[in-house]
Amino acid sequence: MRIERVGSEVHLDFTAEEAGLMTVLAHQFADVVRDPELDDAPLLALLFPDAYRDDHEAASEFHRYTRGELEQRKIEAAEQIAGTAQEGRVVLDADAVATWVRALTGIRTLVATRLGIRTAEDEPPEGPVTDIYHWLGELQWVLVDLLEGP
Amino acid sequence: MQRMAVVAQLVERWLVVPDVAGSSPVDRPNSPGSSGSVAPVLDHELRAELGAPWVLIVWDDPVNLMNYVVYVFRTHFGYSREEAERLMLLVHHEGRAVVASGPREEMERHAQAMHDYGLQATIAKDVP
Repeated sequence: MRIERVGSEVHLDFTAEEAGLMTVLAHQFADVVRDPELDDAPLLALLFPDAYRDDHEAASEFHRYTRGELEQRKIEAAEQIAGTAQEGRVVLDADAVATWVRALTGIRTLVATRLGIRTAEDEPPEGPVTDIYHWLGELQWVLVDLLEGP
Repeated sequence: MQRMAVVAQLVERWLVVPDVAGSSPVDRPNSPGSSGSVAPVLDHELRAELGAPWVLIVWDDPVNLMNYVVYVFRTHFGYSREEAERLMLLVHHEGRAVVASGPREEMERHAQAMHDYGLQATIAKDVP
């Protein structure tokens, strides 16, 4: 993977493996948000947190009127990644980079819950999924830096 | 614009209040259901809505990167880099930080935006 800023654009160079991984993870994320299973509860709690910690009724009401729109935007962002990630050069304008970094938080949250990461102190076990988690973190970190850069 | 929204909401409530009072006289033994009972209720609503502000709290989480949190605070709230970094470090070290305060409706819009960005945000009454 190579990332560089060219004018107002960001150019990503993905290997076939990296592009495939991004696409699979983005689809997986969209699928889980669209049609979650019972053991996705820890993920959903992070993606759609209670807005009121001590008022169950207010929290439910907040969920009722925000959940649909939040789901839709998270799905759309993930699908935009799935639609643009490809082997070779990927060109993103500033808006696309903003969507990518937002979607990457969701995808990294998915991978983190699969790894059992619940608190900042949790160290994920060594292995390929942890490598992927760190790789996604590096990608997001660099993209944010490019967005924030001079 | 935001102020107008609050006023509109209050007017809406004001219109609803007499019906509520009239339909449940048992709960309001001192309210004859006349328009005279409306004013104190409106005062109470006003105090709750405008007098005691609400706060938006962002909590630490194991996933979000420090530079992403700074980026979100800058982009959404328009904070300077220094202020956004100060708040991010507060979240990181203290586990949470109040990042905005104001009317409840506004805090709920901020909370939805934070959830959209993937941050853990909650709303609470400001404790003086």
